[in-house]
Amino acid sequence: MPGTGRWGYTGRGMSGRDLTTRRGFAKAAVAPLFVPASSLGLGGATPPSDRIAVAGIGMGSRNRRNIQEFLEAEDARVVAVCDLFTERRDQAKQVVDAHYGNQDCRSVRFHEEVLGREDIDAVVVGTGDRWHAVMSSLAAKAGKDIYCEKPFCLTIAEGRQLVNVTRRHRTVWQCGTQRRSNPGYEFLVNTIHSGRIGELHTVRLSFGATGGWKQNSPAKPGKAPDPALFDYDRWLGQSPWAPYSKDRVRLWRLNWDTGAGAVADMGPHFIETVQWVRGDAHDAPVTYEGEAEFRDEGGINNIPYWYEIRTRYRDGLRLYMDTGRKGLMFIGDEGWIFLSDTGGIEARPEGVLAGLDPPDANYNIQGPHVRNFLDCVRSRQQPVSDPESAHRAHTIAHCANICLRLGRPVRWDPTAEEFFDDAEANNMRYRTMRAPWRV
Amino acid sequence: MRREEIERTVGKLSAYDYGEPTTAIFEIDRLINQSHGDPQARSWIEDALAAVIVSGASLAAKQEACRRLWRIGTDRSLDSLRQLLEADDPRVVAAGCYALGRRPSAKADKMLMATVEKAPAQCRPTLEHLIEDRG
Repeated sequence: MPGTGRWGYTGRGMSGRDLTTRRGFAKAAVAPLFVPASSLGLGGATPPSDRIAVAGIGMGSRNRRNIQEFLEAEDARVVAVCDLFTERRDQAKQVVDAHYGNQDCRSVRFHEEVLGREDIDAVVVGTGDRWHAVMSSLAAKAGKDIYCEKPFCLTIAEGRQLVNVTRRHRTVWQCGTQRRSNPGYEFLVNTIHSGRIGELHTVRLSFGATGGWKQNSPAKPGKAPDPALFDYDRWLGQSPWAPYSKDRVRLWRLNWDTGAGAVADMGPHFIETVQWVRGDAHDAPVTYEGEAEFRDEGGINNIPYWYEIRTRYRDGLRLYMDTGRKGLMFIGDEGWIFLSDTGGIEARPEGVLAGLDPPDANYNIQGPHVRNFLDCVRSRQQPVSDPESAHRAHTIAHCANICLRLGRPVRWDPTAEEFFDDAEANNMRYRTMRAPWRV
Repeated sequence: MRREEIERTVGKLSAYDYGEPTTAIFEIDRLINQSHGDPQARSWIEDALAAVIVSGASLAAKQEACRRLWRIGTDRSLDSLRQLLEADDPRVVAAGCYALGRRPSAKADKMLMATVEKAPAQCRPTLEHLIEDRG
C-alpha cells in the first residue's frame, strides 16, 4: 500500500496518474538523455543501474514525507540521508534500511558528504527555509537534480539567483509545491477554463487559522548543544548570527532571519494554481495593499500572524490573500468554486459542478509531483514547478510580505522585477547572507 | 513627527539584548512606517539608528539597528557603519554588511573596497561576500 505507515502519516502515496504505473512510466521514460550516476561505475555500493539515486537533506517531518514517496518509486533508490540532528538522520536511515531490507543507506551530518558523491543523481531538500536556495545552488553546482521544499527562497533576489544557477547548470529542479500535480487541482483549473463560473474576476487564497503562526517566545539564549549532536552554527546557515536558543530553533518559521513567514509558506502552493488558471506562470500582480497584525508584545515572532492582502494583476484580476478557511476560491461573474485544502470542492450555483465528478484534492497527495520530477530527471525536461515559475509564484508572496512589513501599498513591475519608484521596498528584495553561504 | 520623540524611541534600542523584550524594535518599525514620505523624519531616524551603532550597545542592538538601515539607510549613515565594517569580530562586520545590502551607493562601494584591504583575516570573507554580491 503506497504512502502509508513508516513515517506515521496517512498520505495517499503515488496513486492518481497513469505515470505512476509501470506502463505509464515506461512511456514517459523513453528519453535517453539521463544516465544514472550509479551506472557509470563512479560510486561504491550503488543501487541497480536503472534507478535514480536519491539523497534526502534535512530529515525533519516534511522531508520524511517526501522521502517516503521516493521510497515508493520503483525507479528511484534512496541511498543517503543527511541532517544536522543526529537523532533525525539515524531515524531516517532506519526507515530507509527497513524499506529496502538492508543497511545500505548512508547517514551523514553535513551536506558536503552527499553533494561530493558522484553516485548520487538527485537530492531532496527539506531543510529550514533559509537553506533551501543555498542548498539547491550547492547541489546544482555539484551536478545534482533537485526536489526542493517551499518556500525555496527568503527573498526575491535569492529566487532570481537560483533560477540563474539552475539554468547555468542545466539542473532539473522541482519546487515541492505538490498541489501543482494534484488531480483535484487540475480538475479545478479545467472547471474554471470550461467557463462554468463565467468570467473570472476575483481569487481569494486563504492560508488557514493563525494559531501556529501566533506562537511566541523571548528566545532566551542557552547553552548550545554539542555540535556532534546538533550543529547550531551550520543550522543557522545564511541567517545573521544569534546565540543558541531552544525556542529559536523550535520556532524558526516565525522569525524573518530563519523563515519566510506564513504568506510565503503557503502562498507558493496556491499562487502557482492561480498562475496555472491564468495560463501565465511568469506574471504577477502589479499592486499590493493590505493590513497585518504582529506579536508586538515582543519575542522571537516578528512575522505577521494575521493579514489581509489585496492585489491586482494588470488585466484587472483581483488576487486576495488572508487567514480564512484554508483553500482557494475562484469567483466569476456566473458563480464561484472553492477547493478546500483538505480536499473537498464546493461551488455555487450547484450547476457549476453538474455532471462532474471532482477527484480528491487533499493537499497530501504528493506522488504525482514526485513522479513528475523523476520523469523529468530522465527526460531532462523541466518539471511542472520549474525554477522560473516557482520563483514568480514566490515573488508574489514576497511582494505581499514586503507590503505588510512596510504597512503601505506597493507597486510591482514583473518585467523589471522591481518596485516602482520605491527605494525602501527595493532594498528589501535582497538580504545579505552570512558568509560563506550564498546562492 | 518630532525629533525628540524619534530619538527617544530609537534610543530605547540601546538597552536591547538577545532574549529581552522586543517592544522597542516594533516601536521603531512603526515609526519607520509612519515616516514614509517624510524625508526629514527619515533622516532623524537614520541618525538615531547610527547613534546606536557607534554606542556601547550590544551586538543584538546593533544588528537590529542595521536591519532598519537595510530598509531606510542612505549615505548619511555610512560613517557610522564604517565602524562596524572595521571591527575585528566577523559577527559585527556582518551586521554592517546587512545594513548595506545591495543599496546602490558608489560611496559605500568605495568604503567596502577600502575596508576589505585592511580587514583582519577572520573578517575578510564577510566583506568579500558582500562586495561580490553588490557586483
